[in-house]
Amino acid sequence: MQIETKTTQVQKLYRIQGMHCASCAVLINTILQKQKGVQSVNASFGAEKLSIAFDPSIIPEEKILSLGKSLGYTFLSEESKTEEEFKKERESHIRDLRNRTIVSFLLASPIIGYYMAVHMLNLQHVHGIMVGSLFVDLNWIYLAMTIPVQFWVGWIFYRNAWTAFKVGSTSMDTLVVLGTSAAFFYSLIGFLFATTYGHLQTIWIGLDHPFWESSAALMSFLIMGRYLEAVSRGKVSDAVSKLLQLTPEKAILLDKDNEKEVLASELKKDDIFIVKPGSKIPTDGIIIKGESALDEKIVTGESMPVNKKVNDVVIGGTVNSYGLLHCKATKVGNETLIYQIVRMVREAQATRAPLQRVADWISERFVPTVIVLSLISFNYWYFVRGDGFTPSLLFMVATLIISCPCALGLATPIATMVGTTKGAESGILIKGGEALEKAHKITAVAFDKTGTLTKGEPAVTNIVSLKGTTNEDLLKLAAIAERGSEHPLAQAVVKKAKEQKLEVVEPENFKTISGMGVTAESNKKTIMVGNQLFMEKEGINIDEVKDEVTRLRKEAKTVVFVVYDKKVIGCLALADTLKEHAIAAIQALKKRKKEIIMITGDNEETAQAIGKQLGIDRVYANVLPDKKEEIIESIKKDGKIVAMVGDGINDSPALAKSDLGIAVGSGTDVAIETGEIILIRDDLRDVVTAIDLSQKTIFKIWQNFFWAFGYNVIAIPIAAGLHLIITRHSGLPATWVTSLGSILALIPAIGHEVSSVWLSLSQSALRPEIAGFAMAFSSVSVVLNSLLLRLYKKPKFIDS
Amino acid sequence: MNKYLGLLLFAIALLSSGFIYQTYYRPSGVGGIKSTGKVAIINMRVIKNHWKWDPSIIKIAAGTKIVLSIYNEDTYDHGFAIDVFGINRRLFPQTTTTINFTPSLSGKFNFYCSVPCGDGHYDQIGTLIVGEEKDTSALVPNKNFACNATNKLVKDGGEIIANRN
Repeated sequence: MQIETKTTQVQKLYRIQGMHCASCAVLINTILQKQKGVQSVNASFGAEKLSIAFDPSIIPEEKILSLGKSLGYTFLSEESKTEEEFKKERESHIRDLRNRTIVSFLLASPIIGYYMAVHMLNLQHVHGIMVGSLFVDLNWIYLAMTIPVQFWVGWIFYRNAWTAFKVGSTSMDTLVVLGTSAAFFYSLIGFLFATTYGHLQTIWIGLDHPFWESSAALMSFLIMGRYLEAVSRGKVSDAVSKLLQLTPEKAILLDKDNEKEVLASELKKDDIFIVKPGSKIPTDGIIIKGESALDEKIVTGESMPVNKKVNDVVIGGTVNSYGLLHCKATKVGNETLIYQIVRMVREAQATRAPLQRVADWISERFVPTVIVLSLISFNYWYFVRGDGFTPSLLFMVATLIISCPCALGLATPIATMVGTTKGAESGILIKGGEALEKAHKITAVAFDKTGTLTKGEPAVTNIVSLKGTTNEDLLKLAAIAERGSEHPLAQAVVKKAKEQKLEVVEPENFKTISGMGVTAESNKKTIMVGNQLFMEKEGINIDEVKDEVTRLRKEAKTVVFVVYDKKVIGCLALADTLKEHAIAAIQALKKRKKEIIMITGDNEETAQAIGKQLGIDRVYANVLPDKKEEIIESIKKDGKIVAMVGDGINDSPALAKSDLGIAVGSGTDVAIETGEIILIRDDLRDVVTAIDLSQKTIFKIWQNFFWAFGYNVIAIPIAAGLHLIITRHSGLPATWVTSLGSILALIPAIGHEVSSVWLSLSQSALRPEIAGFAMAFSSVSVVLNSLLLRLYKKPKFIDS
Repeated sequence: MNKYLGLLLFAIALLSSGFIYQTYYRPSGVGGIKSTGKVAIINMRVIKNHWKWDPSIIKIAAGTKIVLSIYNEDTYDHGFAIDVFGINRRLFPQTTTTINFTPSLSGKFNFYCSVPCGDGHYDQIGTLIVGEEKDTSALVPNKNFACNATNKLVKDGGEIIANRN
């Protein structure tokens, strides 16, 4: 697809192949932005799309493609590959991650289990076993098991870290690579040089405490997290292909009075086609014969069926209710409204700004800090204090190893897993961690009206009966007359009568007066039900109900008059009604200080009436589908972080454009595919629950980061040997340390022990087995803390 | 500026200023003491199931090279670590492990077991006292444990075998 905005500028959308991390998008953006002739670039990691505006006379398309190639990415134009192929690619990517996860856990779990037990329970270390008379050092086995985890499974992190390096940023991958590599090589060198072989010991002594579990555990949990994320993200991109299935496959072509069934895609401009009652319009066109009411809510969001007659426009994908229509095709293929929506969804997905993940936000600052601290520690111990090279280097390496937050790999996935499971139990599907992170930042919630806040179908809301008639009689008579009609309003009347268990008998002499109403006979008397036009035509005096009618119309209700035996006996008001818990949900959101916005394709009066009823802050009415997206955009520009709640196809560009799309499960497939949070039940209170649950989950993630990093923050200065500056004084324990030691010794029974442990620990650098204990402890606390989220309770609602 | 470039420049600046400080400004007396060429051979054992070093206190003149042979009497691993000299070695069960190092700083330093080994692990601490060069060196055996005549370590314990020059 190609839109000429200026004569020289071309806007193009590509699929990007080969992206593996958020830094990739940054890299593509940075490099392409620098090119002359490129006006704007937006690569999105989540959608794997690139939207670019460039001047082909300055920079030809081939140049852009080859630039992408040189960075290691392939830009594919939308048409060059079928959806099927993309799906296959995604699936193989997910399979690859799954395999890595399985292998990683198989290899790592014995190591993790062993070291966890030893460190947490202070068990005796078993470093080797005797096989017959042969001594087998278990480190060989651990080494063999760790290598694939560190390099094959971890290859993904190395690759991502390299990309991050190229763009000059330090992502979480950088931190992982730095920490696990330090731990792995420390273990490897320590084991090979300091223990096993005598002649190697002359080169290097002094570090023999393997940290195999450190890299094994971190890699395993991280890869599991990536796998789960890929699974949940894989589902997002199927949306668009579903959209195109909205238009019917077949159309009835009228060729010189001959009806012929053809494929809808074969329709050409100016072809005449026939639409039978109850079927979908195959393409955009204009009515040349017949009239009917069309249900257009799927595209425009208008709740009431729209009466259409000759020369009115019909939209492909909408539903014809009762009349037989002859239409002339005005737009086909890529020009149709539906196709335009498809294009908008695609573009919105491609330009959606990625959210910086909590972990990356921390890593961005944490990594340089750690590197600086490790350098300072080496400098201090070697140059200032004059320690030997080996111990000084060890202080530096220890700082790097300690910086590797093992529990980091657990912090996000575990909390996300518990949070999303909890959500699923309450009927809320959350597609991955990013949706969670965005949900908790939301400051405004935009709702679609029809089908989201309201039921999306007309219902009888008021019954006004004149003296001498009861409400039941009025409804019963109206229902008898309407029984034979297919019109949605008529069906609403019949439904209401049935709800009230009224007996609706078969009428006689039933007649439909198109665009006006119906007449029928019952008990030899005529019943007429219809609009004002009908009453005027029949010369029926409606003055008696005039005041009521004016009032009802102000409430944006549709009024039909009921005439029995040539006399008005009352009227019925019909309107789209609110969903059951809409008010409670809106109130709860307002209590959470969210701005409530309503965007609808419906008319101003209806929109205002609903808006008033719900207490909505901002109402946008008469919004065409393509404008919904623009409104979301402008709300975002106001600095709001906006969630869009919708159900229809017309909402999907807005769902994609918003910071967080929430699809109501009763809605269309497309909306469901586009949304990042899906409410399975048709209950708007779940919007509140979803936001609330996300907030709780994100809070948990932050808590987990506290447990994961809190340990690092305490341990890093100790690993760097900072404490020794205050606990040792010219080679001897500082006076305050010894005095505290003697005070501790006064504690009954355990005093002596405590004192000697204190004296020992305060005089040495961070002991590796204590570091191991702390790492294990922080992982356990992260898991336990996440499991506490299982106790989550839904927020309470005040139902009015 | 690129973060990595910044870090690299920082590292270069830091290390070079450290080097300049060490070479021109560091007060004399700080830093490593040069090897005197003397060698002290010390035998040590880890007392079976007691998580104790024997001897638990070693006195040595700074600059004297220590050849430390430790026999681990237990059936499980221990470790010997003095972090200030960058030493952290595994002691295999019922094996003698030899560690060579030259204490280059004077002061009182702990040596401890660096391998989780059960109940008494955190109590398994000894002290290395590195004195001025003129100090006479001494070993203090662990008095709480009776000497076992058959144990080679006990025979040698408490003495400096040689002052090779």
